[in-house]
Order: sequence, then C-alpha cells, then structure tokens
Amino acid sequence: MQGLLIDVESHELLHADEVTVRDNSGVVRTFRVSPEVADNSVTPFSASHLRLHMVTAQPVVVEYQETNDGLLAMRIRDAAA
Amino acid sequence: MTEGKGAERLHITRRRLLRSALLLGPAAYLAACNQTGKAPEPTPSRLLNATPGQLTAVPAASDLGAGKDLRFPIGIIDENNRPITDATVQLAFFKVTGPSTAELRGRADTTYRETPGLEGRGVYVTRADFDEAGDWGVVAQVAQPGRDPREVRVAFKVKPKSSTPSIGDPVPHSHTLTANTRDEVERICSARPGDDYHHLSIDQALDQGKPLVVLFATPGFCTSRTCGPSLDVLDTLHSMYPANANYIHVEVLKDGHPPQDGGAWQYVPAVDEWGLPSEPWLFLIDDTGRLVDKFEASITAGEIQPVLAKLVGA
Repeated sequence: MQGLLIDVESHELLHADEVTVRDNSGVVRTFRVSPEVADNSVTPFSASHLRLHMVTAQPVVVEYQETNDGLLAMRIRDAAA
Repeated sequence: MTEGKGAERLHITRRRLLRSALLLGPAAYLAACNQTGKAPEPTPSRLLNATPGQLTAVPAASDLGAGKDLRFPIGIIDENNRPITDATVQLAFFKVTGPSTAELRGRADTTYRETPGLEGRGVYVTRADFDEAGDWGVVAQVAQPGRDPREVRVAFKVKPKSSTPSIGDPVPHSHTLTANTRDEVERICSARPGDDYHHLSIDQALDQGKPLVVLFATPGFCTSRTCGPSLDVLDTLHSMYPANANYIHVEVLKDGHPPQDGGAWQYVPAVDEWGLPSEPWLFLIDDTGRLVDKFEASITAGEIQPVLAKLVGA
C-alpha cells in the first residue's frame, strides 16, 4: 500500500507499535508494525523516522501481511513523492 | 486559550459515540455502525478523519503533557492526499470530560511553518493550554483562498507529564560527547562536514550559567531531510546570537552512525535521560538550567528566534 502516514503510535524512538496510512483514493488502513521495519538492514524505518514522514507528508510504501490479528507491516520504504 | 472555556459542550449518548462524532463526524459514525452493527472500538487510529473526499488532520506533537502555552503543530492533508499550505487555520480544542460530554477549552489561530528544505511541506503551529491529561479533540477550520471554509476533526491524547523535560523544569545534566578537531567531530557526529557544536557537554554548558540551545538530531542519516535542515536552523540561531548563549548538537546515534553488520541500534545515553520519543528536538534552556521552550520535528528559525531573543536578552 502506498500513501501518507496519518498516525504513528510508538512508545520509543526505534520501534513503532502501529501506523495508519491513507492512500490517494482515501482508503485508510491501520497496520501493526513488525520489529523488522526498524531492523531492516536496507531500509530501516524507526518510529522516529516514520513520524518525520508523517509530519512532512512524505509518502511511504508499506509491505504487509494479513494475519489473524490484522494487518502487519513487514517493511516500509520511501515512495516517490 | 481561555476564550469560551466551558461555554460549549457536546452532548451525546455514549462515550464511543462522542468520540466518533467528535472526530469522525456523525455521517461517518453512522456509516460505520451500519456496516458492522456496532461502532468500532475507539482507538486513536480509527478515530482519524480520513474519509474519501474529506480533509485529514495530522497532529504532529508526540509528547504532549498537561501544561500551559504548549506548542501544538498540526498538518492538514487535502482530499487528494496533498498537504495544504495556503490556508488560514483556526483551531478549537475540546476536552473529553465524561462518558457523554466534551467541553470547549479554547480557540487559537495558527501560523503556517514550512519545513526548511521541504518546499510545500509544513505544519500549522499554535500555542495552547492543556490543563489536564486525557482524551482531547481538535476541530480545525480550514479556509483556503477561493474556497468555502471546511472543517476537520481529530483526536489526540495529553499525558499527565511529558517524557521530555517540562517547561520550567530543570533539564538533565547529561554528560554528552565532546570533540574539537574535525576528525574527532566526525567520529561522534553524522553531519558531513561535521558541525561546530560539540565543544561542550550539556553538563559543562549548564555549569556555565548561560542560556543554552540544545539540538538532538541525526543530520547524516535522515532521508526525510528534516534533521539536516534542523542543523541549519541551529546555525542560523547561532549566527544571530553567537555570544549570548551556548549551542550544542547532540548526535542521537551512538558513534554517529546506524548499526553495521545487522547489529542493534544504539542511542547515546542522553536520549533516555531527556526522554526523547522522537527526533529531532530543539530545547531552549535559561541560565539557571530550566527549560524555557522545546520544538519537535518541523523546526524553523522563524518560530524559535523570538523566544531565543527574549531568553538571551537581545
């Protein structure tokens, strides 16, 4: 899913708990965030970095899995603005 | 932020309805009820107003604690997912006061602050009093040139106390790394070239009894391009009042770089000591070591300069 972060919930600088993304058509999805999102060696996205994307309205791409507990973001990366 | 205090109340039947109505609007709430047979749980994420064809409000403060005259930045996104940068935005703040009520606690005008280095990106900033912790809502009236005014609502939380130092409180006497030569600086700082704000540790600066400006940022590894410009803001402030205050850049990452070979991220101890939930942050401290003001994320010299001028007596 590609869109703008409109909510980032976290309790620390590194790992986010949950993010909410709105795509260009207005679809909104909330994802739990895997620790792998921050720990990814190629495109690490810390909670702090996610928050900066939110504040500056810079789009992201969320790669996710559907789980029994809802959507789980596995990787987040920059999207072309 | 005292105008109209207690003058307006929202009355609805249940807390869930209140929060949904306050923040999503009645139509969206009813639509949600019709689809599921019951209202969704009111988690902050689900309360966001992000319905197709509508505006979205994005509160940008991650560390609001109860207090007065606090910075409240908010982004406004249009129906096509583009940030709105040309509007007059007025805010009305509501405190959720009970299972079925919310109370107007104040209104405020905002100033648009473009994020340095990011043309067309920025936030609307105001100062507000949040006199108690708990669930709050804000209603933003958005007036763009040539358009009818529109309204957007969103929820946010106010903590009993912020994790970063509160305004008026003494700041932590952190011992932060220092460096003097270029090589030394670049061993502890991610900026390239390394900057000139590593000569003093925070505790050393506080001991001098002089106003202090502290920037926590990771300028070299911020692809959002907000940390690098925040260092430019520190440069600008320093150039305005070079002798009246001390200026320190604290690199957030230990050793000035991210983990290598798959290791764990490590932050400098001052990050925990100052309770940072995000970065960058810029703090203004008076000559007695108490916090005067703090600025998170979208940091501009234009917003900080008047506060710093007062602090240094300029």
